[in-house]
Amino acid sequence: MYSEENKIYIALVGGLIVLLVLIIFFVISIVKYHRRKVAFNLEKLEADFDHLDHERERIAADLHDDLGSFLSAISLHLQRVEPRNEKSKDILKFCEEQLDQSVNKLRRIAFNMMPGVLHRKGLDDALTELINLMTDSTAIRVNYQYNADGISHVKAIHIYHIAQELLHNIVKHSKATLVTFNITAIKNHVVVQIIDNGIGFDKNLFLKKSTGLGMRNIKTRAEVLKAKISLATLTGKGTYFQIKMPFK
Amino acid sequence: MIARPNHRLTVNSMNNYWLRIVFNYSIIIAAIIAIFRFKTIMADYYPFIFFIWLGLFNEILSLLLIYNYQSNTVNSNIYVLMEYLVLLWQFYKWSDGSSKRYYWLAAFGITVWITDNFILNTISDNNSIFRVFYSFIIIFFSIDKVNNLLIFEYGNLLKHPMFITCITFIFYYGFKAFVESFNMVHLGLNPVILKDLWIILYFVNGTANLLYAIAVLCIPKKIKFISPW
Amino acid sequence: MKEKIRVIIADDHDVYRDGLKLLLNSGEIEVVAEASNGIQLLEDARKHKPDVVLTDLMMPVSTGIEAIKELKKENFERIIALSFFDSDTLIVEALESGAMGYLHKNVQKEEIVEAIKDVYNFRSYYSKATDMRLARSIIKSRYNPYLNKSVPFFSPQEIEIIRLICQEKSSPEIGKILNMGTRTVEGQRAKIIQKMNVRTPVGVAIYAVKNKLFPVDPPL
Repeated sequence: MYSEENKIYIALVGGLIVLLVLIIFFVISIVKYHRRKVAFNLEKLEADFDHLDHERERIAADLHDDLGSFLSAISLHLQRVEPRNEKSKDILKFCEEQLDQSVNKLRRIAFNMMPGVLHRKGLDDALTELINLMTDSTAIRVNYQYNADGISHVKAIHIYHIAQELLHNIVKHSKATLVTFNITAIKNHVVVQIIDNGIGFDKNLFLKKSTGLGMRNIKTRAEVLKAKISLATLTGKGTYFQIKMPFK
Repeated sequence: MIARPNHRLTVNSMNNYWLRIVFNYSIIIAAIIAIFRFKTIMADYYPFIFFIWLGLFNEILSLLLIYNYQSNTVNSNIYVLMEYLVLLWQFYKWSDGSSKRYYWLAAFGITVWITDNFILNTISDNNSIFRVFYSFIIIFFSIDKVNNLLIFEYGNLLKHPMFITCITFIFYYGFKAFVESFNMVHLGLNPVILKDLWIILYFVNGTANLLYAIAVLCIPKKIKFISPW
Repeated sequence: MKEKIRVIIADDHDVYRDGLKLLLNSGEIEVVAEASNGIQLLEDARKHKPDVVLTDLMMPVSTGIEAIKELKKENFERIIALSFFDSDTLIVEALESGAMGYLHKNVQKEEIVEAIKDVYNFRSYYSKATDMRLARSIIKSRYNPYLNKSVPFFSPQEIEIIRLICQEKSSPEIGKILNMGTRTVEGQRAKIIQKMNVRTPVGVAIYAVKNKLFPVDPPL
């Protein structure tokens, strides 16, 4: 019925269609597995963080309470010593001062690692304390608003550490005088905004070489939160940072 | 796994006869290795081992039938159905999904086989429809498995038996489907070219058999359960 | 001879308890019992009926806060909370639960003794290490030791001085703002502190706000 040539053409076209089908199948299959792998990796990341944060909570509490008590105990015992001369008195005083400083340093380390209040009272109280600490020791004013009740403890830890890192950066680098810090729950999402009126930075340079541990932590925690980060900054114009994540 | 030449294989066509013997019986290497390793390897791979032994059995059977009855088409047709079902079973064992889709494919395959061998032709004909069909099925499963291994497996892929066998399947069944399709569609090509294609298929078959042997060597051992006390 | 003030110490760190006990056991104070957790503290209190209780806030089993609440229920009012000040909210909780005062665990002997004596006389004691941030948290809290207590009269001038004290102004600064001599200001401050029965500017601020001496506005 068909001429020889036509048959060959049809056969060729048929063959190409078959090849196309195979390639499409290959692509679909590999994309499917890739997605699964990404989800699997995310789960693993979450589990790793969970473990890490728990460890930190434990260490911070132990560190401060345990070690701090021991150092203070030394101080108490030292206070019972009755120095017989000026020199002894000076040495004693020096020791007590050093102990005082040690306790303070300890407190700062433990607090930075994981504040106890986060676990006890929740995100709002923890952030309030963090901000109070910041406004007390610097000339920066912070407008803080919290409208997101019901965030799970695990998410709270991540948000807290992200905020801690960002505020730390603001204090250290931005020379800002005013910070607006909002956490709001809108329509199944939680939106965290931190805006400062500081000197800003070069966004491209920053994103390219953001190998700084702090920013990397923020990114990884944001990944675990399945959050999207928006960053707008210009040298001299301040910085706008927003992170938006699903509520559940 | 056995390549069937387009023309009847007679005692007279000695030229490619010895070729065929050598390449097809290379499966015996894999079969012997399998006998030695059978007890120690994981049960997930048993269908593949049966696949190899089935192939060897069919080769021997073909030889006997050719000497006595001049033809091996009937047993070949039955053999390909069994090959299909055994490989389907193996892919099921290699997956962690439900068995539903495998049952459906088995049923559909049997339907195609019956159609090919009883309705459209007879069982003593060289029937290619089913062969093309099941070749594609095997290819699809193999591609999927290879992708799975690419993304999820750690360690040396080249020594992974699933990877070796599935890549081999893709090449062998790919070429087989290509060659068999010329049997389905008559394009009026020079018969010499077709005969050459079949000879190439013998080569491919021989290589595949060797690769199967390597795969059997690479199958991991059973995990012994260690008692906690 | 004056009777010794009988005190119970509760802290889960033995070394610390030990240090505190040895430091306090002197002429005026006697440590009658030690406890290492909240439950033990309650048992000891019921048994020994102390005058003053010093308790750590971070203890296992039953935390310090719960113990304070229980003690308050059983009419042990003179409680001093010990803490490392790592969390404002913890100290505020302690006060709200019924503690009469609080101290930093890293403290000097003079201050502990002063605190114990004050609390023995039913007077609130706020650690000298309190900063304004903590003071603000306390002021904003529910804690109010001045419920149902009569408030003496404060002249408008005194109220002004009090307001400026709350803004952490020093005496010379207050003097400049109100057009008074520094010495006069100091004299007024002393009188105010005596009337309020407090010891520090923190005490002044808390007294002033809790007794509503002036409307509280943000500048605090």
